[in-house]
Amino acid sequence: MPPDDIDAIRAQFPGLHRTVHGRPLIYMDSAATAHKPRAVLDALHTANTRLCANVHRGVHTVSAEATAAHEAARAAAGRFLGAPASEIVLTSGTTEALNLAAASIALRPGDRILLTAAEHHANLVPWQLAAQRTGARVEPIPLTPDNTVDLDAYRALLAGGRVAVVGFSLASNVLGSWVPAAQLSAGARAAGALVVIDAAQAAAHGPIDVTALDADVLAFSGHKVFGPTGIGVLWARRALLDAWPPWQGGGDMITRVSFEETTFRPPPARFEAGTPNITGAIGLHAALDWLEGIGWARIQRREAALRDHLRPRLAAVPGLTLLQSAPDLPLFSFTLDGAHPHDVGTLLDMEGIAVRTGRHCADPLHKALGLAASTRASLSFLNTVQECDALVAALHRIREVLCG
Amino acid sequence: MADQPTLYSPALLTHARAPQHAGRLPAPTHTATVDNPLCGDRVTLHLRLDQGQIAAVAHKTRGCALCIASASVMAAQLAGMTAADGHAAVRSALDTLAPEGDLAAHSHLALFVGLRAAPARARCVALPWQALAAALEET
Repeated sequence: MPPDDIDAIRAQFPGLHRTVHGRPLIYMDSAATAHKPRAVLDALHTANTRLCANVHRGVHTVSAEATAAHEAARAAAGRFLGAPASEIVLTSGTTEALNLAAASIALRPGDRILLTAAEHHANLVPWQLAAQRTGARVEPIPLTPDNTVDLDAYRALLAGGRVAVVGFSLASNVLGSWVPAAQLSAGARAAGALVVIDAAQAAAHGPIDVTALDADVLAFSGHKVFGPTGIGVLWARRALLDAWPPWQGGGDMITRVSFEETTFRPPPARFEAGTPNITGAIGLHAALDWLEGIGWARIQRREAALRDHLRPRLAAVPGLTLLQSAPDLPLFSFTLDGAHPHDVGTLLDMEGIAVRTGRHCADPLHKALGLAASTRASLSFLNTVQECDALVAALHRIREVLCG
Repeated sequence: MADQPTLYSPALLTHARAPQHAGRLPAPTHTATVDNPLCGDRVTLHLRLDQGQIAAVAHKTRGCALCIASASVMAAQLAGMTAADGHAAVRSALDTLAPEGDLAAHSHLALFVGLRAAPARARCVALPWQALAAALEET
């Protein structure tokens, strides 16, 4: 396949080849969920046919094969993050993973949890719940006027002491920019705080190495990396996993059960009660293999080209303001003067263009920016320049309709 | 645009750009503010009831074109209604906005007939009616 034969890659995505309101679908909501390639769909089918059995239980052949496939997915998730399989807990997604971490990390009254002001609710609300339970408190790391993390303010917050956790999204689902992860981690490390990273948005856009990030906990979701929904990954340092108590009780996470005493398996099994999402794990494995086959170099080259093509053309739409004027990802949140995001989203939908409207699970960020809502076009490397041009042309027309 | 959706018709956009009864009443007898937590839209409705009938209406609507137009259309028809009339109008509107409702046949919702192509937006049109229900709940 030639390096830029995007048509051949797009042909692997049945979901992209449909119409919406009589127009070919132009999918620009990849930050919400990514479409799935045939390789993933086939793996899901295999999981529910040839490999249909419960795992870790049966002596029969199909159960053994399903168990091997499930554990192979764990290993693949570990390789994806540069971590051993023994540190990979399979969850329902990033949200469950972050809830598990927030519920498990030992916090004391007065401990401080620092989170960037741009966090997705999934990396904010679990910490608020943990703070309510323990007497810890959650504090925002503010953004600068150009919507990057304010590192001076961060250093001042660290200097206040008692920081137990520093949490951040590796890439913002609203601003489309990478955070200064190295500085955030280094500051946390020097302060003796744990580093918890939400990689849900980042995982589809570049390689992740938990050692290079100097992280303690990191989470991502299958469905944003071209895999199925309902499966996600929690990675945590072995020492943390060993120290955390069981989270949910049930089958699979125990060694012996009696009414008098129950003992628990070591991590990661300790955190996986009940029949796991076997199908999802096998689908996630297929997605990670598929991504590896495409290669980050090709993905990032295409994403940069799409971003650089679209950015100036969006900025030239009269009345359009980008929330982040120079995003790293091909992800653009914007407002259009005189046009409510929901109206923009509906009018784009009428032309077959799928975008997200609202606050994108980031209420505090929108409040900080003084916005009720915004429109977000989030691309993947599967989008085309022609689709970018169709978006821009549609926005020019919509402006005329709504703003007269 | 070639096949511009009928949802954003000139009549609807006229309401959205210059909503009727926009503003606040100096001495409302009934008020309510309702929010759509999904998009941050907000309708504040002021009513003045005089001898059991709605004598004056004003709404302050921060929202999309559909929400503002809906508030405008609703506010224009409330004068003279009793609280019971108002509750009946709310039920009728919300029933009609439900997926099986006949928008075209409803005297005050025909403007939104294009909504069926954008079913997720029914809640934007419903918000002012929810404000009316809340305001009339006030004693």
